[in-house]
Amino acid sequence: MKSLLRCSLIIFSLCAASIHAQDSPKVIEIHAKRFSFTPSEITLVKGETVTLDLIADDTVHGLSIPELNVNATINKGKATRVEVTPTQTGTFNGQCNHFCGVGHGSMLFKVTVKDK
Amino acid sequence: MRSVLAGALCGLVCCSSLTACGVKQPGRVETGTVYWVKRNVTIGGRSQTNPVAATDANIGAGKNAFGYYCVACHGRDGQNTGVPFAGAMGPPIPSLASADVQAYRDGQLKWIIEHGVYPSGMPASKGLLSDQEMWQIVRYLRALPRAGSLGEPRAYSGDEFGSASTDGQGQN
Repeated sequence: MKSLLRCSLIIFSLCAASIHAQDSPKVIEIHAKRFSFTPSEITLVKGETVTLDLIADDTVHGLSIPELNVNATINKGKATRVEVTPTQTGTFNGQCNHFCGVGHGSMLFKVTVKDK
Repeated sequence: MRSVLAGALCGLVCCSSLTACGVKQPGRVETGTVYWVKRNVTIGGRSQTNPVAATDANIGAGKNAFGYYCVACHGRDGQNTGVPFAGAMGPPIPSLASADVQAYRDGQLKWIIEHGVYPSGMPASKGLLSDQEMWQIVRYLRALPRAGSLGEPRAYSGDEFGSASTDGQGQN
């Protein structure tokens, strides 16, 4: 009886861990600092949800990627979380959408979305 | 040797007089001629079409980008509302809703934003704004609101340093 209970407990734990893993999307940390993003390019998989953790290191920035419905303001000192689930493959351009100084126009970002 | 020195002095005086001219308003003929030359000869981008669709979202994004710093000279409405020196510049800052400005093609407006216009006060925004933002601003210029409907730029509120700044300390 004891061994049966132990087996059930192990199976239950494995299932719970599996469900938890499926529920937690991959997190990508992106830093914004005059006048670039780090990393400035990421690759995603079509249909898979990821969380972008956007962090401003110096002043207020923003990230706009219209094709992926991303339009976020990134405040200094607090991570801005954005969930993205790409529905199409391709290369999508993003940019800072909060004016941040003389190099604002060159603060660009690129997302490549591939099939599984 | 004397004549060389005299010539150099004359040249220096001429250059100084040119660079130290006071602001003067151009006449109608000068204005018309300059606009014609710019529209047909000097301003590039004639063949470029706007890759940004004329949607509310893009017009709104253009308005937002216009608010970064264009408003300092053109006002929020692009028609100089609240800009105290707009008419005192030489040449004066044009209303962007005027027929002269609206006669430019989309590509020319984008070229002007990107490269600026010499010899006016229009600066070049290459690097300051992305291509996408410049094209979105062009969309906004084609859909400008009624003059005065957006109020005045904050910079001209007379309260740049905060209301408690009269003691010279200002607010951080």
